[in-house]
Amino acid sequence: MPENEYQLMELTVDDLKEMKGLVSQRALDGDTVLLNMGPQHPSTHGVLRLLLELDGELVISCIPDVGYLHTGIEKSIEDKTYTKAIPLTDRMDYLSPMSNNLGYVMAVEKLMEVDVPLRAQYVRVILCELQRISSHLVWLGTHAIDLAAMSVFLYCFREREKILDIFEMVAGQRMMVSYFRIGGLWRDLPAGFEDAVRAFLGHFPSEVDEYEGLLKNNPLWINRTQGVGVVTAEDAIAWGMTGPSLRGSGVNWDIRKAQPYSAYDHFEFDVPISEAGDVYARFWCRVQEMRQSVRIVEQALAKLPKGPFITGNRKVAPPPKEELAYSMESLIHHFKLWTEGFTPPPGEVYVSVESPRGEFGCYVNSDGSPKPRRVHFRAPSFANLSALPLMTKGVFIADLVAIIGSIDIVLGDVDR
Amino acid sequence: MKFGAMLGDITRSLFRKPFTEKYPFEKHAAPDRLRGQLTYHPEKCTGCGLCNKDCPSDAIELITIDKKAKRFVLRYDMARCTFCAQCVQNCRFECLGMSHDQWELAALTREPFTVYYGKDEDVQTIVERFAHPKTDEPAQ
Repeated sequence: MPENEYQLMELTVDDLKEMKGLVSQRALDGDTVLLNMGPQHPSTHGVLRLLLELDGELVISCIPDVGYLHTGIEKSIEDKTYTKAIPLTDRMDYLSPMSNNLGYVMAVEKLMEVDVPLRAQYVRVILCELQRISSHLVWLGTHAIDLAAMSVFLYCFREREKILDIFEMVAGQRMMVSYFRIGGLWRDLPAGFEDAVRAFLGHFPSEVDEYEGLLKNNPLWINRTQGVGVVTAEDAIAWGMTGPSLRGSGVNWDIRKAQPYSAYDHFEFDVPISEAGDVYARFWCRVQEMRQSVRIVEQALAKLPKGPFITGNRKVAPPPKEELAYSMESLIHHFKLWTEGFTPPPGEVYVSVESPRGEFGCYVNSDGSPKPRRVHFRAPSFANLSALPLMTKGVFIADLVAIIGSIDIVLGDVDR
Repeated sequence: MKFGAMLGDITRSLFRKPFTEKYPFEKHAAPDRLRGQLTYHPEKCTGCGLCNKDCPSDAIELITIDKKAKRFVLRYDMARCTFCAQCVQNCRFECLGMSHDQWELAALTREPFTVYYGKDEDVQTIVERFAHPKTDEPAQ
């Protein structure tokens, strides 16, 4: 290779003008190095590009650049009826499709003023909490592999498989579940669901202890996580961080407790909070959350009521198929609902749920037609990612990887 | 952590069956609800076209050759399908279903993803019509 191939890229005057205000004057003078990290980098958990300003090993500033996974889902929903949009919501935060489904259908239910049967609410809670465990397992595995703990990754994915098998049994798909419908569920629970969940819950708590023991008793893990990427409670609130990333800074804010939805107030659980605000605190919060999720699922299974799984409100729920054989009105309504869709009253609603990553909000604006005028999702990953420059001031590059892992971003959720 | 903590795990793992499945040789038994390839039974179909209209990703096209003689062809584009099963839910005659054993849908070319369902001669007519468009239609 000729020697000039190794030369660093020269910045043009226009590039420098664009960067003014983003990087320090030292970078413009050439004292520090600008380094591009990503978008194809295994430690950025997707296609995240970071522009790093480095002084040796130290990160002076870090500018996240998002948009590489832009899917236009919010815009696509404007062209679909309310029911048809459900499969699209799966594909935003692909590690927690149940929470996305739940946020969206709850927003539309609020808009239509539909009551959801208690059984459906309980099933939603069970599945969302299983989803939280599975999402946290992916996070724990990938976070650990970023910090060179390979075994945890394999163990976590083994456990996650069992949850995905349960989802496959219930919803017919492992990841893109589309199981929640407006007013209830797609179908009732299959036979054998409770046994499968109980079997999983039976051995899972001891597995969590094992994984946690593998990491928290490991001096390497402690050195690389404690005191790294500290964010204070005030900063975390100011930057809009939510979920375990916020609770790791000592703020007691969980939507499930603060604004209970979908029968969450029927269950007893604790919200783990850690004061330190560093990478270890966020790790600790998520691991404890998995244990709390197990508690919630156990209670919900024990109290699972019998009854309908979808609302009897014919505005949103299609009539039962047996009725179509003898009722002309039902048949007409069936056709109308599936071809045109239902029409909510004009207005706007905002509903938020606690997804594994934080507050997942759904804003729906209706103009009275069968299609929404605007749907916006408040993505927890996006807000958490925006606090990354704050957390990475003056850390080493190796710690940057730990910090990215600790805020648990999913790029599909960031870009939508 | 104790020094010998790993020993128990090692002995257990030595005599335990591997968790992995020998996939191409042994297939994983899929649950009944798995949403795999779409299936279509033309005998019961009345050609109402609900599936056509409701598909969120325009993967289904119901082509009517002769409505009275119940000659329909369902053109199913698997590459567009999101496997949400809304068509299965809204079909009132239960002509549509999602197969739970047809889930190995990968292919090297695009052709196998377009599937025609219907009687053989009807499918033949439609495929020829797509191959030579507007030859068997009356001139406008």
